[in-house]
Amino acid sequence: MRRTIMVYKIPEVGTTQVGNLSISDLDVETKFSTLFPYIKGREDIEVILRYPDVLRKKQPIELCGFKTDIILRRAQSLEQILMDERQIDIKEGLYESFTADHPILTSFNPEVIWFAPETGISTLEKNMKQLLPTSSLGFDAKMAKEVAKKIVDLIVEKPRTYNFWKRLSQIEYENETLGSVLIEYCIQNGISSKAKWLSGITPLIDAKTPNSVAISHQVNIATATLVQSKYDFGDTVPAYLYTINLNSSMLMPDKWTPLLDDVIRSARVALENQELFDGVFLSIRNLNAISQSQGRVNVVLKLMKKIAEISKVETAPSFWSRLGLIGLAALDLGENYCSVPPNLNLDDVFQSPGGPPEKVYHFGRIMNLNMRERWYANQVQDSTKKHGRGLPPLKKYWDKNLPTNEELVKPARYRINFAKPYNIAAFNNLQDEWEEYITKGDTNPGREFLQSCEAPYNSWGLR
Amino acid sequence: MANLNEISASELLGINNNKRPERDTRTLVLSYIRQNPDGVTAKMAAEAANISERRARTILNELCQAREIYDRKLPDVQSHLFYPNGRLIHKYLQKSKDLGSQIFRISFHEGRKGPRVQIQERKFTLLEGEKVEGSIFVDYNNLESFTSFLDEMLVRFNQFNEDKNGGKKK
Repeated sequence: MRRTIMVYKIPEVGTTQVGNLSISDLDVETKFSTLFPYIKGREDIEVILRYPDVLRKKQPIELCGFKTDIILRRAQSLEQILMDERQIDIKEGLYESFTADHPILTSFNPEVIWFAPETGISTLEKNMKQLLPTSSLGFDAKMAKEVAKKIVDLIVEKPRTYNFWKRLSQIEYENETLGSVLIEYCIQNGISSKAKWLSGITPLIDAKTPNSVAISHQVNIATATLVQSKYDFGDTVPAYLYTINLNSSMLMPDKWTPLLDDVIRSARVALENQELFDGVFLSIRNLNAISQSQGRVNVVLKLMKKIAEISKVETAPSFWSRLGLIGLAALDLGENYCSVPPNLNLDDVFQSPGGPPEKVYHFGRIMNLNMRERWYANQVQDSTKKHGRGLPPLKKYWDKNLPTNEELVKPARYRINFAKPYNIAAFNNLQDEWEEYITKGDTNPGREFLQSCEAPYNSWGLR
Repeated sequence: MANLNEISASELLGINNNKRPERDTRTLVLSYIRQNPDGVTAKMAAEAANISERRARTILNELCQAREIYDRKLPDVQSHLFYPNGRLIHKYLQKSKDLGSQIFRISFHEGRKGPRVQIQERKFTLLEGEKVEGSIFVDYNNLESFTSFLDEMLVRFNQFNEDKNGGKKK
């Protein structure tokens, strides 16, 4: 049974949709349409728990599902640290009270199963060992370890194929198919992280395998069925979102393919089913590459319009994962929720180990809203030294526009105490402005902003 | 090996004609116990759900902890017997409320003699999620008297506090 209720504000402005969303049995009451932060690990969770004022009231948060144990452990340890640092008493649990104010969406990056990156695989295995004993499968720690090993072995067997998904239903452990174990893990992950919404662990849809649309659809139905059975049983379970993970190969320059029609059709069929799905969740891999080609950007914009139409007709919300500031264009086109990583990086969460050795890259990048570009730490430092200005001060949510000297030599401190909270506050300031323009009757304020931004954002602006 | 277009939701969940019709093992065990209110052993539950006895015991313990079922060791039976809690038919009008760090879930259940209210105290822990701490059942007929009783105790407690503080309200 669909639990979500969306109340649209009238009058409608262009394709944009704004209003309030509620899920009464989960105590969710929040606004749509909005940007919201994507939390990928211990550092990001520290930022929002240390500085919750950078968030808007009742703003949702998206968590990386493969890292929930890491994220929750950090939240737990941070509780004592903050009590000591601030000489305060946190009675109700830092994370628990946070989730009461900010509804959580737990999602799963498709690259972990598609590419089987070493970091992603080991993170998944650890997370699974931790969570499976708390699921309704009745596995103890030893069994959880064994079955997690079976699943990751299957993932690494033949990456970049659908071998994993084919074999999930054929291999059993203690009379459960590995498919059902994976889905139980996915749901338990949402329950443990106190999520209000859950996306599925579904295959990456790739142009080279047309059947991937159908497999993804079946995995969605299986997950939704199990969520529904738990809900009927009286368990508190998150609302399940029909999940579509697209590889960038699906998006050819200025070419709307029959496969994209299949994606749209399956999303429509899913949302027409009031029983199983509470909305739609989409992610697109490699947005940086797509942004290099205006033709591919055009196809994504068309996809956004079509998804928004379905979402509106079915009064079920649409969520786009890790769009960064491209989310402003999506909001213009009628999408409801678009997440933004606090470091504004749109690459895969799990990549090969290593990275650029130059220290400047370790500080990450920070959004300068006046210049409409992302600055490296040395640019912030130069601006501070030469002009004493630093970054432009923000109207709301965060009042620090200059890093401390200590932060400028310690990358982690710079990221946690300066760059990431500043970035979140910056996109929330943009969000406020976007809403103001929409209220005044403007139709494309997001894309108007993006047209004068640096790459990769400018290709998403108005032409 | 299956072709890609042969992968179905039911196969992923392990539902086929030769095996159990219900995917969720816990649901299956619980419904089996509810169908047998005179009690079942772990072995019987294992056979019914087509799972190992060890696994059945794990699930039964978990169901006991969730207060969905309870177990008794009878003198003339070697193994434990598991019974459905309250021999309930089904629950409805369920609602949860977080009152600070305490979570309460109230639901109505159709008992043999009429509706009953179940009040569960639940607890959330970061890595285990929400678990039942304990619960009570109150027959619908007694509900009003029960709430009056609570009110009476609240008045008594406030009176007690006032007396303790020398007649001053705290």
